[in-house]
Amino acid sequence: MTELTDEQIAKAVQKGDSVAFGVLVERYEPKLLRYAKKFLFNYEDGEDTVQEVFIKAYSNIQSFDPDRSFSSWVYRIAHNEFINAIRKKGREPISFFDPDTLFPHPTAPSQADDDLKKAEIKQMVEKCLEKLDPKYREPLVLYYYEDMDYKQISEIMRIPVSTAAIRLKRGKASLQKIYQSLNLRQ
Amino acid sequence: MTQDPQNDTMKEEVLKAIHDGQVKMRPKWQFITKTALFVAGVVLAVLAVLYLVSFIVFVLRQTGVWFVPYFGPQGFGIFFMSLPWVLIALAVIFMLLLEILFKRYSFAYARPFLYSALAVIFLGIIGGIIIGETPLHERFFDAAENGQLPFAAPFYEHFGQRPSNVTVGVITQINGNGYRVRGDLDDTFTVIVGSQTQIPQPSSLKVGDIILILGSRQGNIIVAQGIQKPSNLPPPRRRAVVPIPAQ
Repeated sequence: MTELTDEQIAKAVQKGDSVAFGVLVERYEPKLLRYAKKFLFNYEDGEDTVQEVFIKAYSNIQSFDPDRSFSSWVYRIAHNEFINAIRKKGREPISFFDPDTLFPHPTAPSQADDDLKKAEIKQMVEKCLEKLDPKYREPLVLYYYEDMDYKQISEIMRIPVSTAAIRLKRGKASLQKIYQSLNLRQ
Repeated sequence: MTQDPQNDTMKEEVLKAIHDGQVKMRPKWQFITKTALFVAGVVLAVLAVLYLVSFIVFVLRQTGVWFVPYFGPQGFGIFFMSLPWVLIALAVIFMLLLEILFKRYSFAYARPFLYSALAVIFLGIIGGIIIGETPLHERFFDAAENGQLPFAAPFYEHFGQRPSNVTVGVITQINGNGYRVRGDLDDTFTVIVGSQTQIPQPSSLKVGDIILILGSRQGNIIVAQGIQKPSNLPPPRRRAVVPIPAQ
């Protein structure tokens, strides 16, 4: 079972092998917990939310198309659950409407930062999480911690690819400002 | 594979909830039904957009409003005032609905709203114009007039009315200072051409031409502010479509 792809295991679950679902939980629990920990940094019920993600995933597994990526599908469920968790708490405003999704933005193609730069930005994200707007925090977490590209971020957040890119760009700029102001205070 | 205790706990809790029946897998037919309803919604919204846009095109052509911009700034003013805004608003609402429905698919959400909105508008307008060129609405209109479409008749009659100062007719006779014209319902009237009348070239008009006349009707006479002979102007209606009486 451990040699099978996520999609093959999901197919087995669809056919009634509910034990196989445990393998998917094993594979995705650390990733989704990390995603929850970073995105829901200040919310104590991150683990419960991730458990709810798996329950929703099992309940809706028949809607999953095994020809597509299971990872994007389960991350999409996680995104919805996390956004709902933030909205329920009402501590951070999350708008239903984002003007960034209306018009195209000229952006550079998705390209990997070098390891040093990536490590540096990860460190900055770690320190400044609570100061970051959720709309920038999430793409930064997906890009730097979950190693996703613009297209995957677009699929998970259901936003245009160019909007994912612009949010990352603005997120990084905002991150640098926050980081500098934190350093100045210390 | 080594698992940490926390990992085992979550996996076990999820599997226990599944085995105890606290969590149930939703059957596939529910998702298929949902998708089918969704597709039906998309099809209905597409049909509504195409119907409304083609009806708007038909109404504008049929009433002659489509051609009034030939009369210049005054014509544009009449065109703007005579647009069927209720139908346009309905078409926009259905286009927005279609856009919302399309956002479920990656071809729409992965691109900026502007692109998918322009695609919906473009397809709606082009599709509507193509359907508007077919005899579909002409047949509906005739059926409505003959009482075969009881529900649609008021709709077609209401939007089929020409603006009070726009008339379409066929020249039946040319007089010294005007024309004898047969309009809707075989009604005949006189069109007087004055020095202020915008007219391309009086000599280009001949008996049998279909003309568009700008000017209010007083009894049996229209003192024309303008006359045009657009090449694809539909002929006057033989029945039922009556010009709004001049005030």
